[in-house]
Amino acid sequence: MKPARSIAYLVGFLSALTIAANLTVAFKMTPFSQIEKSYQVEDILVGSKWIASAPIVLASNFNDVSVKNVGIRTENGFGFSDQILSVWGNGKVDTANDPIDLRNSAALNELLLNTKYETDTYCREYLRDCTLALVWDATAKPAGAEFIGVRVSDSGYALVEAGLLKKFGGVNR
Amino acid sequence: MTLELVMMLAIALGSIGFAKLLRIESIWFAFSAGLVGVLTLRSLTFLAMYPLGLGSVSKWVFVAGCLLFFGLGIFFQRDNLLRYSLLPIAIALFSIFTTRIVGLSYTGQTDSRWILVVVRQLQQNGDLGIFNDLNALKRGFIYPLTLALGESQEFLTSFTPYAFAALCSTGVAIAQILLRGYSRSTILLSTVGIVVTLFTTSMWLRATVYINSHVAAGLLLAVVAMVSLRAIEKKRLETNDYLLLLCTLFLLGQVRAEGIVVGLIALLPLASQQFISRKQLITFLITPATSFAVWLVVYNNLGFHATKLPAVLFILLLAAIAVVPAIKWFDWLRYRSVTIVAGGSLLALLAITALYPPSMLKGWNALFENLVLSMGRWGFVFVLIAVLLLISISKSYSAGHKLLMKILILLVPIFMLSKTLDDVGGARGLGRTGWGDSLNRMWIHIMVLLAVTAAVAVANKLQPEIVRGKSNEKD
Repeated sequence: MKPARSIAYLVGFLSALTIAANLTVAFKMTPFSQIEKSYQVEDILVGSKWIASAPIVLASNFNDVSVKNVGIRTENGFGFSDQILSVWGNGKVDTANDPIDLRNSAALNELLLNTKYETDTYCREYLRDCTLALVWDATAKPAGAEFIGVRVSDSGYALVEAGLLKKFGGVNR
Repeated sequence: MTLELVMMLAIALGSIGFAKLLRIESIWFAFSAGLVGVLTLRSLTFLAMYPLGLGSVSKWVFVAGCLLFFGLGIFFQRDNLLRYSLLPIAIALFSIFTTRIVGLSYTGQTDSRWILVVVRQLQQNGDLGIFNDLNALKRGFIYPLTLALGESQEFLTSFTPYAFAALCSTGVAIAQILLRGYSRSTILLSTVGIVVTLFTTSMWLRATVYINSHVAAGLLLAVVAMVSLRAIEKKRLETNDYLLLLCTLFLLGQVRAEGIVVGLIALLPLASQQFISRKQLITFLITPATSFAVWLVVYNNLGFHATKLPAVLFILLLAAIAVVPAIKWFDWLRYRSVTIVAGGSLLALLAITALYPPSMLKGWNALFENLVLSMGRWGFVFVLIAVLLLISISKSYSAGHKLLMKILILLVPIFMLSKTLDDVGGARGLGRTGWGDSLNRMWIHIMVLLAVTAAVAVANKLQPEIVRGKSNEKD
C-alpha cells in the first residue's frame, strides 16, 4: 500500500472514531440549553434567576429604590449590584451597615411568606452559595421603596420593604 | 422582529458594499471582510455621537452608512454583484430564522448576562461610566455595541450566528489559498473529517448562538491571519488588505480587554517581514492603541480616570507609547519577534508554574481534563487535531502553512498567560475544569485556524509533491 493511501485510511478512521466518540461519550452538554421564549433582556435575566438579577426586579417594581444594610459582600454582607440598579432605574445602595440579623426572630417565617423573588447571591469570599429573597407586601403597595437587608439564615439574606419589616412585631430595626 | 430584519439586512448590504470597495475576489473572504468594515462603521458612528448625547441615534446613522457602503460598492464594482450578495443575505436571513423563529440562543452564563446589561445601557444611551470597573472591561465593547442594534430592550439576536458564519467563512477562504493545487479527493479527505468532528462538539455548536465576544474575537484573528497570508504570498501588503487590516486592528482594540495584545501578537509574523514599511508598522501599532484608548475614554474609564489626564492627551499618550516598538533601533528585535515572543511566553508560563506550583498544576490538570478528556465540552477534537498534526509531520511546509503555525504557536501561550493574569491577586492559575472556564472558551478564537492548519498538514502528507512544487516555483 502506498504511504499516502495508508495515511488517507488512517485519517478517515481517526475522524470516524472521534465523531463517534463525540456523539456518544462526549456529548453531555446540550449546546442550546435554552429555547428563548422572550428576547427581552429583563425577562432573560430575571427568568434565569441570575445571581445579580435582584436589582432588576426591585427597579422594575418600584420607582425610586433605596437599599440599606447590604454590608460588604466579602465580610458579613451580600452581593447587590448598584450598577445594575442604575441601569434599570433610580436608586441608592448603602453598604455602610451589615444586614440586620433576624435568624432568631419568631416572626421570620411569617415575614418570608411575602417573598416575591428569590435568587442566589454572592457572599463572603465571593462565594455564590447564599440566597437572597426580595420581600414586600403586594396587597399594600408601599408608597416608598426602602428595602432593608436582613440575614435570615447562615447562608440566606433578604431585602425586606421597610414598612413591612416595621409591621412585624418582634422584628427589631 | 422588524428592526432585527432591517438591521441584519443593513449589515449584510454594508458588508457587500465594503468588500466590493476593497475589491476582494473570494466570496468567502468578502463576507467576513465586509463584516469587519461594517463593525468598524458601527464603532466609529457610536463613538463620534455618544459624547454628543446621540448614542441611540447613532444606529440610524450606522444604517445610512451601510447603505452608503452598498451604494458606493455597486457604483464602483458592479460585476458579480449577485454572487457576492448571496452569502451575506442568505446567512442574515438564516440567522434570523434560527434565533427568532426556532428560538435558539444561549445566555446561560455570567458573561452573557453582563453583556446584556451593557446592551441595555447602550440602548437607552445611559451613562456608561457606571461600568467603571474590570467587570465591564472584560466583556469588551464592539460586541455589545452591535447587539444593541436590536429591538428596544432586546438585543440583535441573529448577529452572533451571522458572525459565527463569517468566522467559518474566513476559514474556508484560508483553506482555499492553502489547498490550492491539491486534488479534489485530497481536499475532501483532509477537510471533511475535521469539519464534521468540530460540528459534533457541544462547544462549537454552542458558539453559534452563545452571547459572548469569543466568536467576534475569533473572526478578527482569522482576518488578521488571512490578510497576513495574502501579503506573505504576494510579498507585499496591498492597499486594500492594508485598509482591511487597520479596520481589524481597530476592532481588536475594542473586542476584549486583551484584544489589543492578542491582535498585535497575531500580527507579528507579518509585521516581522522585511517588506513591511515603517509607516505601515507605525499604523499597525497606533490603530489598536488609539481604539483601546478611545474605548476607555468614552465607555469604560477605568485606566483613563486613574491618569487624571484630559481625554485627548490620554489618547495621544497611549498612541505615542504604542509607536515605540516601531523605532528603527528595535528592528533587530522586530525581525526576530516571532521567536522571541513565542519563546518568551513559553518561558514565562514555565516560570509562573514554578512560582505558583499548587494553583498552576491544578490549572494544567484542568486544561488536560478540558481538552483531552472532553470536560471542556470540546469532544475529542483537540486530540484529533494533535494526532493529525503528529502523523502529518513533514520536511517541507508551504510559507502560508508555516504562517498559520506561527500564529498558533504565538497565540496559544499568550491565551494561557492572559488567563494566569486574569485572576484577581496576580498570577494564580490556568483555569478550572468545565466548559465555562474562560481559557476553555477562548479556544473558540483559534479553533478555525487550528482546524485549517491540521487539514492542510494532512493534505500536505497526502500529496507532498504540491508543497515541493510550490517551493521550486519560488526558487
